[in-house]
Amino acid sequence: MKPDDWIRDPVFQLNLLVWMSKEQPKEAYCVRPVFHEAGFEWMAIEQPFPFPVETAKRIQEINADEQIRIHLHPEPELILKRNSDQSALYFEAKKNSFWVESNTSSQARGHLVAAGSVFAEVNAPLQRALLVYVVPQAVSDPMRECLQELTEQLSSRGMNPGNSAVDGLSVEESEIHYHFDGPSRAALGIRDSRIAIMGGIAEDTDPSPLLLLYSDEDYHDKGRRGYYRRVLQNQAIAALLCELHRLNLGESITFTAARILELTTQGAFNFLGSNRRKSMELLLKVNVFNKIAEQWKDRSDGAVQMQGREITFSFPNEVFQADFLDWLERSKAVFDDGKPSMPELEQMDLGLSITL
Amino acid sequence: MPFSLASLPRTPRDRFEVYRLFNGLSEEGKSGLDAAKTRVPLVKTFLLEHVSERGTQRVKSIPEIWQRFASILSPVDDSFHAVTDSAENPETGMQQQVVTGYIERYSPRFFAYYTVEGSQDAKRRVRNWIASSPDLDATWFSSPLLKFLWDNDISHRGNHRFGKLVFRHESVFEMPDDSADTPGEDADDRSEEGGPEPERRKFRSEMGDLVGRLRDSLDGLRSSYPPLHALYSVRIPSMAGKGGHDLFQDGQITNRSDSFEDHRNHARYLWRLYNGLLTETEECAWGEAAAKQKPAGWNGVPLIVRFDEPLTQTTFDNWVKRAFQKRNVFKLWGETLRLGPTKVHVYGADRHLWQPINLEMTEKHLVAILPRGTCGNTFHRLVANIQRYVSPKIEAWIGSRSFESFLADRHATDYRDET
Repeated sequence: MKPDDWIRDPVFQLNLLVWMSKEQPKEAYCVRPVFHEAGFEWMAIEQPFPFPVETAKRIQEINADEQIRIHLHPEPELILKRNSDQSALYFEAKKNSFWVESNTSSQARGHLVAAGSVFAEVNAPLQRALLVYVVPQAVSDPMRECLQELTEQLSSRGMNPGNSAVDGLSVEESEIHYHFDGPSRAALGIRDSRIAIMGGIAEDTDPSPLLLLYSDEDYHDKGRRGYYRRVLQNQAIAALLCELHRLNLGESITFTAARILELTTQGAFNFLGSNRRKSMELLLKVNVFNKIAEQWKDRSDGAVQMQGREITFSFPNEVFQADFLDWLERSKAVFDDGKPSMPELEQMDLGLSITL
Repeated sequence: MPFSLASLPRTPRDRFEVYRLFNGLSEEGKSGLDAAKTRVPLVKTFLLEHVSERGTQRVKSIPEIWQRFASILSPVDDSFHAVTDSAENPETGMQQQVVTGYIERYSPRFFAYYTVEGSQDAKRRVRNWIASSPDLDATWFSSPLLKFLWDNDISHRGNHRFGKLVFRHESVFEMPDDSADTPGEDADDRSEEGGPEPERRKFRSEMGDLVGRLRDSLDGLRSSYPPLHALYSVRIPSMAGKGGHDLFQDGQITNRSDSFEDHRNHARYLWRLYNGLLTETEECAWGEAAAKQKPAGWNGVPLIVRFDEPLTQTTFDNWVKRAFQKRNVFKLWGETLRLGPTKVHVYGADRHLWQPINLEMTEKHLVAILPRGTCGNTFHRLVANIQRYVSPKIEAWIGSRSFESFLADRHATDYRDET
């Protein structure tokens, strides 16, 4: 893997942005908390932006015209807010730039409208937002040109798009640099056009900070395609172990994948878009719950039961409890980190049950 | 005649009868110490934490927690219980059921176990309780916390007072195939008994002198020898007279004064200090104060420990390999995901308390994310064990605040009221 590849990974980009808003020591930060230093804090993650009724109607009219399309439910990857001046940074991270004619432009038009005057209407008392696209620095110029053109398209149709900036990421020697566009510098109140946000970058080491946002998507390194899924699964198994170690004999406990995801994401799971939620649930259902059920099918005698989306545990005696927990603690290799297929998703939707 | 635990009352008239008894034993013990011989074991307090109180689990009463042990609890009053357990009769060598000590509930979260049992037996008993219950943990007075106590309290109690500092560091992860590779709680006892003694950096030192002299010399010594940062125990001079109270890293406090009341006052003082630190650690790590209507934990801060000297490849590899083994002192569970030669991520759990924790371990630092509900004790145990077994000189931060400033802020508020 070349260090340049890391900065194109959407999950890496997004986690980098979240870490940049996390309070950390100046002397020993993981990722320099530039946004935190400028007074910004986390507000929302991948939450669909709900347009006001009038705006939604106008977008529908424009979309009906079929000359351009505006996404009616844009999902910014991250929104940071600053209470002192009621401002916000509305982030979208991309591995590459795109052109006005590409399909991604409808999403960008949606973001531009969301960051405009409607932002304050929807997110009062916040007064304004700056749309920030984060891309590899090498493609920041074409990205900026594209946004400019899209802004003009929207203005010419009577919409009120917001200001935008294109910030860049680059790897220089052993550092990852964040490049600030003019509007970003103004919003943050900083003079530097770029800041080293991570040091000690080496070709043999993945620079990722601890993941704060999880994904069921493929990892960019072909040799470790399931890495992000493994992180999610490990967290789920840790949560299961923590709960099951405290389960008293004779009592039962039932989990859904959604419940485990709520626990492992600190509740952020409920704030994600429905497609993302569904695919993460599917991942745990297929790769963790089903695997436990398969492994204990012949020896659980009803102590481990799966029905539809739920898995229920009830330990009949100490020996069984110890055996099961010991297996779960040592079974890291049992859980495959492949991506579940669509037929498995359909099965889950039908709520097919396996009772052991 | 050696002291017999059988003389401790199971049903005292009230807790003050126990106080009086401990007071007498304290005086007798102190006289023995002054005459350089003690036949009466010293009174000891073990500060224990009931980990469910701040987490997501149900809070349990003292009898409920002790139910899983073989001990019998007899209430003396609402928050004071006699503990009857099996102990060796010093005359016959046979096991007998006797009162081994008393438990006082300081708060729903913290208990003190007072005992006059011999030091090794008492430690073993408390360790067994902790090891066999995910509800209980020790309190962890890591080196930065002990140093804070020394700098801000003990060293100001008078230059003429007698002070004692004990330092301990053992680089157990330095050697690749060490026969004593997994340090356990009893590792010290084993080597003291003539067991194998592997070759690795090992430092144990005790400095006993007038407080003023200790204060004048300590900084200079520390700058030339990093293990002198690995503070393991401090003596806190008594407020009531001569002697003091030896506080150890795992929350044991040994009374070397002649007053049990002064001893108990110091135990409660240390409990309040630790409780405040723990609560604040959790509020910062979980982001509770700022979270409000957003998902809890999203405004939480990372906990960071930086090593003064980067670990060698061998030390790093051994640490990562062994820290997640079942009986290792770090008590961690999880799959180590390698991101490079000296970088791993673990999305795992604290194996003792069974609470989730996410860790980044590199040759230069450890970063911990404590999900909501994970007890701050997990972090303080990590700090204590890193300094004792991995790197003697460390710096620690909770968010952007150094451990020292974190403690100093407390000192400026309720901590000062206690002194």
